[in-house]
Amino acid sequence: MDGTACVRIEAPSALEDAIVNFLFELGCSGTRVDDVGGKVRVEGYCPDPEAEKVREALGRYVSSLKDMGLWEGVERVEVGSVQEVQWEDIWRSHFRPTLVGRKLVVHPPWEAPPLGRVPIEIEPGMAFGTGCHPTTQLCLEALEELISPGIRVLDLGTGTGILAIAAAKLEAREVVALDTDPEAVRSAGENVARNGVGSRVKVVLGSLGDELRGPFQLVLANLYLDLLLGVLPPLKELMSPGARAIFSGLLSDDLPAFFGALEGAGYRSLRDEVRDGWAVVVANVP
Amino acid sequence: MAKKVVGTVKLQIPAGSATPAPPVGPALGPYGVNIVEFCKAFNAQTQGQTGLIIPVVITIYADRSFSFVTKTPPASVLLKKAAGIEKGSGEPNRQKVGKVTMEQVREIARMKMKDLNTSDEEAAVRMVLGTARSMGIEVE
Repeated sequence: MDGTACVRIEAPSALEDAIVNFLFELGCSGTRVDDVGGKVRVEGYCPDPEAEKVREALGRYVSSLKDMGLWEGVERVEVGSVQEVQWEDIWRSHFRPTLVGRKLVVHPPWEAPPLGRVPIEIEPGMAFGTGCHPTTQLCLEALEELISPGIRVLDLGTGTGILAIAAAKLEAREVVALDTDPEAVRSAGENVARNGVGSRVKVVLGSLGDELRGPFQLVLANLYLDLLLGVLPPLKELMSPGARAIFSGLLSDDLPAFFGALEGAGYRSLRDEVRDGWAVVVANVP
Repeated sequence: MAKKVVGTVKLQIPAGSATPAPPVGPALGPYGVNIVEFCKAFNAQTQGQTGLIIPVVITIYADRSFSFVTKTPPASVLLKKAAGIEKGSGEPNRQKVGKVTMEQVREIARMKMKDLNTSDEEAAVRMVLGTARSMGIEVE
């Protein structure tokens, strides 16, 4: 099988659509465009043996555009070959089993988890929560510490479902996992099923305002500051006395504003931790 | 949901035909994005537009999850459709290959305004006129 070549040209931004079209007409199967200092760099991908033909045709096209006054300056056309790689598989090397806290391990479907840990299998995709981000890890660690068997847990903004699945595996009686993004709900549903916790985790498309019955003894909310500020009051209504909440998705700079809002809404902050600029806050309802 | 963006990539791919081959693989692979998942989602979302080139902007987040937005086909592709031609000119200074009306140009400009992030219709019209000239398409 022939390899793939990349033909690269820097062009005036106004010519982006015309160059992209021209590359497709020359047999390119796809293009990439990057903004570079007021111009665009367009890359077209074609079979190796076609590359010289594409380069020559592009050269004639640019001369023609210069004649018409549509192109100023010197064009730079480069041809390079693209390394043959099984792209379907190579991205997977970024996802290895990740040990979290004292008990948990997050692993992708194609890697077996180490023995002796509670495994959470997550297919990385379009939803947030692959286990690679500090906020997810901070939440999992806090969850491990605060959960007790038999409680009801609410997971707000579940993403891949990673926190809800962990709660179920750490023996929560029931977990309600909410997200407003249909893609996240689909992803969470699949991950819940692949982890065999479908009987205890209910994934719901929606937000706090919708029909949701408390009380919950533990709440997980890995969102971001603005969203968290909005949910603090209604969330409290769903929590039983003494219930705890794990808030994250906050930057360390957000903490003063968040603590103020937390107190104003009647929560008590118990502890906080910062990692790589991201913060987790554990609070309870007196 | 603490979504910190680590990169954005803009590609043009035929509707319904994304594969892990270039440009998708080399663009997303180094970020550790689930390439197969992207292809599946892109193809599902664009399957009704077969034959058109679809620009897509992919945003990659700090935990290697991603999202994407598809845009209107390039003005060049819309102009070919309007002119009823298969190809633009490779030498637009010497060879004209088709004609469109000013009304068609305006219609394309209005379609592209959303992507160009402008409310200035005249600026969008100028952009489409420039693209038409650079493809050897005359405007009557």
